[in-house]
Amino acid sequence: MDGGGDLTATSFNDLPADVVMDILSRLPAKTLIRFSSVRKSFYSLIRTPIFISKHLHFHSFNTSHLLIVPQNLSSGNPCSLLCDNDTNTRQATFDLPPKTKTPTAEVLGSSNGLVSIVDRFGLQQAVYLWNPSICRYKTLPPSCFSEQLKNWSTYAVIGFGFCEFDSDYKVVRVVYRPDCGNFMGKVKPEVEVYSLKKDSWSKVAGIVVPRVAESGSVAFANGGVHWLAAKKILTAFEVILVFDLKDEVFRELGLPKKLVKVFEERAMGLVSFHIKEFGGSVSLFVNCFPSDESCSVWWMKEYGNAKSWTKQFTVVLPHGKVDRVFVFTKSGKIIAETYDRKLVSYDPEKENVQDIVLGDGRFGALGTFTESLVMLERRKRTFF
Amino acid sequence: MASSIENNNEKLTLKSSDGEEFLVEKHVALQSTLLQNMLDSDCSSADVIPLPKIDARTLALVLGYCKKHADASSSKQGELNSFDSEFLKDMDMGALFNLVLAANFMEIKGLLDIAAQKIADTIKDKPHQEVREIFHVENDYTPEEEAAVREENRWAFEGFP
Repeated sequence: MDGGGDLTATSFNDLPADVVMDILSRLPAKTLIRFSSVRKSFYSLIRTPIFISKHLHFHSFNTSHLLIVPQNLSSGNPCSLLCDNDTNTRQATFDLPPKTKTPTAEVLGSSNGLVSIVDRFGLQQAVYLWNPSICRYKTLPPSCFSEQLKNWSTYAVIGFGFCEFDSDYKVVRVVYRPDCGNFMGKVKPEVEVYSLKKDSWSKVAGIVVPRVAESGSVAFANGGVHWLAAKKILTAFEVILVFDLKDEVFRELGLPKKLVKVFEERAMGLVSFHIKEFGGSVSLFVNCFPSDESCSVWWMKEYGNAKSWTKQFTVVLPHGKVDRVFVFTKSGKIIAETYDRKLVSYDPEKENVQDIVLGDGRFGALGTFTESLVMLERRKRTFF
Repeated sequence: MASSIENNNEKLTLKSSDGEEFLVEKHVALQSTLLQNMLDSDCSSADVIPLPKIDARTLALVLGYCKKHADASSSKQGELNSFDSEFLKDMDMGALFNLVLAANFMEIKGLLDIAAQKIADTIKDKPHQEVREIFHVENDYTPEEEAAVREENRWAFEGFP
């Protein structure tokens, strides 16, 4: 209260920096990119790390979207951004980065505004980080284990997520060489972690861990990447293998006993499962063939406590059996694909099913999505 | 217990930059974290609290907001929401700027929130040339620079001049 004149403003320029950031961080990413043209201070502000993080923070608390990706990335179909509400209206479409439009590329997941795409079966084993909100992507540098990956009997699994502690996006790659361990037991794979801040891969000392199946489903939850893993026979999952992105170490989570038995009794092809994030913990969607007409959903209520696994509900749809479950939305609904290739939103509380109509083509990975300006700061103009 | 009820009826006087005095109930003033801190630290033993940075017109608006929010019970969220949108409905950008400044200075989180959101909503779908006019800011790009920045982000201009 120095009496230094009234707090009056006739121009946006008169507002203090934190108020300016508060106002602008509420705008969608695309609008902000366009407003780069208002004046130079707008251009520079929206590219600062502090603004980018404030913008992300606002949107992850106040907006909720679902990103739907075509199953075949080379199909030419775009990705769709839907509102995560009762109407599921399409808000925008995004064209995939040109390099990722190959039949072997797949979307791994999305976290805090970035989508990771991996071309595991391509020769380069390329990994991409894509921010659809600002039409920007980057190709990750080559793996530390590029040589090993050229060997056809080597395989790798990849996970992606945002590490709150380091405010960094990380990708973990676990490489199983044919000589890294017995096919029938625990193995000692090679492990590397990519950090977006450092823009490089670094090796992590490998330890003996249960084996993850090559085509297994992966989920990012509670700061870690999660896969179903086997200790004895590859088809019989006994645990969830977790890679903690903060401490960069492996952990194991127990599975519900009943499910371990199901995995033991049935051959791989007769059980399909998806591991998903829900409510800060992990959930499992299990489909048994051919007997069950429904898909059961298990949830680890208390993260880390194997005794807290509960069978939440079974998904019963009036038309067509559930083939694949894509995501648990923030509002607790399930987005799934039925055998007759319909995309549906299922509300387990009301047992209510709604069709989502998006046009032709099958859909692949899908997730909750937050729009952001992450990766925008990477290109700087010289004239400022 | 009895004293807190008494406190509810206590009044204090706020004085705007242009010398106008406003008599407000204490529980209304407590919507402002700044005033709350001042009252807690007892530096307000004076009869009149000067707010030398806020003019009478803006202060009247701010206190109108505070009164509504202090008096409404938490169960009337819907009513408060419609009050908020009505409150800001016909406000021009200059008044919104002053409101956001006052809310920021007096630390009234709810008011800062709705005023900032209103400003953002007003410009959201406007062309950037119009935003300059609404915000009263100058274009400091040379024509070459402006063209280069636009070219860099051409995809974001679809449907805009």
